Order: sequence, then C-alpha cells, then structure tokens
Amino acid sequence: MSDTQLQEKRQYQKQALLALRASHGHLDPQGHEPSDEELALLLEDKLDFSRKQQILGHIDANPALFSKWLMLIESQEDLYTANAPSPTSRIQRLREWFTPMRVSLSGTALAGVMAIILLPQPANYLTRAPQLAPPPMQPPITSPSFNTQGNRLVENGVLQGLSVAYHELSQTNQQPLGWSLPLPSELPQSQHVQAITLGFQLLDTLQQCQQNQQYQPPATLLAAIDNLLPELGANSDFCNGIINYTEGLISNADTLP
Amino acid sequence: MATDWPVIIFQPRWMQRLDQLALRRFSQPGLAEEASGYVIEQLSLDDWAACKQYSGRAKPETYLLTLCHNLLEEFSRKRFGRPRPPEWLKREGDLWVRVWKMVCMERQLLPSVTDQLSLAGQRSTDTIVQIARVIKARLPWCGSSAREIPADCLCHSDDEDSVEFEQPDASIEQKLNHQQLEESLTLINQWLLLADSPSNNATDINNHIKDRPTLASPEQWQQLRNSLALTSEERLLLKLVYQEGLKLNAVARALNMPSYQPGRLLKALHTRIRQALVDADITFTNNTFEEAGFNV
Repeated sequence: MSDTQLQEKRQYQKQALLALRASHGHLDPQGHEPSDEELALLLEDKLDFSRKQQILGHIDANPALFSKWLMLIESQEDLYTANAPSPTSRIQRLREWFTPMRVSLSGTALAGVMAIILLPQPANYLTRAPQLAPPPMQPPITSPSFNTQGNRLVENGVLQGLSVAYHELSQTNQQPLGWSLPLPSELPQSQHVQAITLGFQLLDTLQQCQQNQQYQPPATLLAAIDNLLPELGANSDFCNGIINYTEGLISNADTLP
Repeated sequence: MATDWPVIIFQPRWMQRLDQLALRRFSQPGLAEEASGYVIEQLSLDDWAACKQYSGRAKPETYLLTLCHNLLEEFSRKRFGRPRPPEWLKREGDLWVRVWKMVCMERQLLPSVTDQLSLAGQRSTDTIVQIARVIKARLPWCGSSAREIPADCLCHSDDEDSVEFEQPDASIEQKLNHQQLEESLTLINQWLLLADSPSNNATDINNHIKDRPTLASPEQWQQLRNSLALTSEERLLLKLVYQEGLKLNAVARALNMPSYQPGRLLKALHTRIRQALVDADITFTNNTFEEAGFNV
C-alpha cells in the first residue's frame, strides 16, 4: 500500500470514528429487545425489513448485545472459512485424480467425443442444426439439459468433479446429501478441467447452502458458473438453483450419453 | 411438531461444532471441554427447559448457537467473574474489550488470542497484537500470573445462578440522559483531541497541546449530529469495519448484504461525513489530524 493510500485509509478511519462518536445515541432503538430466536433469524436473514432495522438499532445501542451478535457472526464466519474450498487442496485433489490410467481413459473418451463432432454428419444434419443452437430466450437452468455437445462436455465434467468430491467425503458427510452417485470410474470420462473443478466447487457450495439458504458464493465460483453454465448464474435464488440443478444432474447420471 | 432437542444436540456434527465454539472461546482444551459439558448440562436441565422458548421460526441449529453463546459466557462469568472493563477500553470498541478479557482476565496466551480473533484472515493479526500491546502497557498486571487481577476489574454477581446474558445497563454511556449526552459529546471532543485515547500517541499530543485551538463548540457538535443522521445499519457498518477491523466480505456476510455493497455504502458514507463536517464548519485537514495525534 502506497503512502498516499495509507494516509487516505487513516483519514477515512478518523472520520468514521468521529462520525460514530458524534452520532452516538442519536436514534433510540424501536420495538422490544430481540429474543435469542430473533437473533438466530437475523443470522439467517429471515426477518422482515422493519423488524430487522429495529433489531439492528438495539444491537447498535446496546454494547452487550453488540458483543453477543459479533460473537455469533464470528462463529458463522468460522464455519464459512472452515468450509471454504482451499485452492491448494483442490489442485492436490486434481493431481491425485489425474493418474496416468485415468488420463488415458479420459483421452480416449475425448477422442470419441471429438470424432462425433468432427466426422461428416448424415443428410439430416442441416435440419438438426437449428435444434442445437440455443433459443434466444432461455429460462434459468434449474435442471441440467444434455441438449448440445457443449453442454454434454461441461455437464459430464461437472458430474465427474461432483462424483470425485462426493466419494472423497466420509460416510457421515455423504449421508445428509442422500445421493446415489456412480463412482467416478463408472462415468463417461471428461478432460474438461474447468468443468471438473466446478463440480468440486458445487459440492462445497451445496454444503454451504444446506447450512445457509442465503449463502453468497465467492466471486470466483460465480465467474466459473458464468463461464460454463451462464443460464444458471441468472437464477436469482442462487442456492435453490444450484440444488435443483445438481439433483437433476445426478438423477440423469445413469442416462448420460 | 415439537423439536427433538436431544437428537439435534447429540448429533456428532453439532457436538463437534459446540467443541469448536468452546475451544474458540477459551483456547485451552481442558477448559473448553469443561465449558462444553456445562453447556450440555444447562441445556438439558428440566427436560430441556432452556430450549422451550423456541417457536420454530429459525433453524433449531442457529437457535442453539445463540443459547450456546449465552451459556459459554455464563460459564466464563462463573469461572472468572463478571469482568468490568475500564471506560477507556469500552470507548475503543468491542474488540479492545475482548482482547482485554481474554489476555488480562482469562490469561490466555497472545498467539492463541490472535489466532481466535483473526478469523482465518478476516481480521488483521497486527491490529490485535497492537491492541494487546497497548493494553499491557497501560495495565502492567495484565497477563501476568504473578500479579492479582485488581478487584475493580471484576464484579462477582450476587446471583451466581443467573442465566441472563450481561444486562444492557453495563455501559455507563447508556445511563446518560440526553442532556448529559450533549455535555459528554463536548467532552469527547476534548478527549478526541487531547485525552487518553490509547490509540493516540501521548507524547505527540503533549508536544502540540499548547498551540491547538478547540476545534468544535457544542453547537457545532449538535449540528454535526443532526446532519449526520446515520442509521443503525450504517453505524454498525462503520463499527464492524473501523472498530472491529473486519474485512469487507466478512462485513457483507454479517449484515446479509451482497459482497460488493459494504464498499459502496462506505464510499457514500464518507462523502456524507465529509459534507456534514463542512456543514458544521468543522474543518479537519490532514495536518490538523496529525497534529492532534490521531494514529488510529
């Protein structure tokens, strides 16, 4: 950080502390003090707007309540950081997964897929082509669709990543998900590294969403979704979109092309 | 449908979370284990009476989290007494009080305190170390097992079995009526410039004290208060960022905002604060701040 930036940061901090001291006690808290359950609802972001503002007023005015709220959000933060994907472990898992045998199998599968794409198509090719193009206005994806080769490649990769990550979980952690997901070796092998990585991330995200329906995904995950599954990113209810999409993907795993 | 609390609480996942909470609060494994046991015992008393207030609106696990925090604090009070932080510490914010409580009252080691409070990088460890250093410099008995904790730092509750969390009247500032508050703001003004704010450099202040004019009259402070009109959410945002030292993405999660929003709100807030200072005819230049010894 440059000297100018540091000075600016300090200046902001001084102004903020001054504003806090000058505005202390300006607003009397409205409504009754929050109960423990209302604090829980605040953490879950399930309060209506006006009650939320009232409770924030109490938290602001009452140092003991502020202290308690702070500890609650910090313990939520612990959970968040404990479950956040570590880039190192992701790379390690990818390295472990890409054993020579798997890579050769994946290469064979990819060659097959490429052959399907590149080899001359039958006479009805031209009439099928418009069906492969995405329609101009697509609704948000809430379930996977294997309607194009591109989608298939991505979704095979996502499923493969999900499957590897899922089978690495302990049985205790697998149980709440209630999936019957084929072993990675039983799936069509994909070499779409980004899609496989996205599959890993989706499992972490699902676990986060099960803890907190209002879970805000990291920007890197949103960027990956925008890149590979753009329609899913347009879904306003992120957690539900991810849950529905993943469940659809898994239920179709046996029928994958 | 009634919630089956024993089933939820004795789930390995929840028990693990409780152990983590206790360890995070007390850092010593033995003490943390004792605290977890205390929480379970208190929750299960009278057929889980402590959970009976639950109406089913929040998730049972989140509700339990709030109860566990209450009980861990209760355990701490029973073990270490109810701490009474000095007023100057309270003025610095909750983070200062917590460092004081952990280092001075519970005599936890500084590395484990910084580890617990840094939230895996969501708060700067340098800030925590600096706070502990200032507190130890001002309170030489702090953290030393050879010295007793002064009696005025502890308040042993008459009712040892009280289950309530610390009462809201803990803060002296809250007891002030409106008129007193106005007077106190003038004093705070003086304090901001001269007094014993530990984040100020006392030597620098003393060097400049003779020549410095009073920066704001009570009327100016009143005008500043009126024109600022910060909402509770805005005040909490400022507190979390500038007093508690949390990073913006953690603040966004705390206030249930999209991750980009705290940054935007802060920017707008700073513009408003600057304008309010101008409107109240309180002009702070960089130099004035530095002369006043603000090293916050």
